[in-house]
Amino acid sequence: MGNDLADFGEFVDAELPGLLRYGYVLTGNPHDASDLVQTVLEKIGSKWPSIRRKTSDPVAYIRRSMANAHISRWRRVKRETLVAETPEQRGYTPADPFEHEPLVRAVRELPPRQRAVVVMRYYEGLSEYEIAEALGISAGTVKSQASKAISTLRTKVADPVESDG
Amino acid sequence: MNQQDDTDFTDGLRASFSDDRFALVPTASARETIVAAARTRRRRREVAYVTGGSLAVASVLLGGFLLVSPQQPEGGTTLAEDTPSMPRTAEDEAEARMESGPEPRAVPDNATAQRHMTEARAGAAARWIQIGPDGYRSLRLGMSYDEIRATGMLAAQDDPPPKNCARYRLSGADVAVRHILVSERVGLAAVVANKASTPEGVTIGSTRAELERTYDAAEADDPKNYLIPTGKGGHYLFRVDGDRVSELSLVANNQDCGLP
Repeated sequence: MGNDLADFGEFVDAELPGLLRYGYVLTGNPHDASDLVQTVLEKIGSKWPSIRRKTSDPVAYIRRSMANAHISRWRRVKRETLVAETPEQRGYTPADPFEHEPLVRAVRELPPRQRAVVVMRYYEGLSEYEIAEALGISAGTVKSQASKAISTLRTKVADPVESDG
Repeated sequence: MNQQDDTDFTDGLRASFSDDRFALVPTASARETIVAAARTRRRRREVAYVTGGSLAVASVLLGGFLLVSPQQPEGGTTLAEDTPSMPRTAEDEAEARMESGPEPRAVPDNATAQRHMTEARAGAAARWIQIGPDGYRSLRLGMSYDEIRATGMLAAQDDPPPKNCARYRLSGADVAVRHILVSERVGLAAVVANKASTPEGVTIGSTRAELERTYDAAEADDPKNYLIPTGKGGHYLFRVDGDRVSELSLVANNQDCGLP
């Protein structure tokens, strides 16, 4: 059993910063990002050889898993943040780093699926068709979710007071 | 708004996603934590597979539950460690200690106690009638009153249908369920157990520790009520009195009858 997981360990080392960043953009919160990445990577690692056989791009595969997990409300109970250093662990009380960024705040307030679609479209640069396939929904749904999200974002950015809550 | 506006807006969105403030720094032990947990998870799966029978079934059900959830606590009863078909070497023990991270982990002295607990739970699941993740016997969450009546399971076939919400008893032979709640709007809203088990083996009388370990629910917001989503349109509600589960219900997520 051990060697294939050594390979997985190297993969984790190399890709963790990027995956944490993706998790943060996706969930809007460093704790949730850390928890999501950890949860998904544990599952991926437990099936690492078969995942390597199944896909030539494990990072993309993991991002899809994270997006789907995020949508299906992967978080049931909070646990200690183990894989990323969050501001509290560095010893100060965190202010929201995006306090003065209405667009980021507005994205954070989108419903999970709209948020995932927006992140996949504009952060990952996937096509509507690729998003549809990844999330198991129709391309039409992707289109409508994206356009609904963009229109919500526009409204909130134009009137940021609304999103203060 | 024209196409140029759209492009500008989405460009702004792209720019905001590449903001440096989204960078998170992995902890020094991140790799170890993840690899160790992946290994534990794989072992557990392999052992569940070779053990076969009811344990395997329980694991599959649990797997459905935990589709996107964190792993079970490391200190908990893992099938991999306590199953006799998986002999452990000294090397395994050392590795297990390394994997344990910040959580205290069972050492061999505890293994027997843990095995007993596992057997007790598996035994309870087999002996007691189960309330599944979406219903009980022929009853399914969300069934209308008429559908429920058609199963023939109600004690009184001529009770009136619910106005808002009503409580019905099942026929006298059914000792597993105390009563059900039916909502006029959403149908079968809750199944309240009398003497029944979840598929994972938690019953009335299980300890709080067993409950928390089974469902990875160590940090319930409310120490008296544990709500565990079943992933099938409902959740289990465990009421804990002192150190023991005192009530067990399967409750529809969209129910409007209040907690049973």
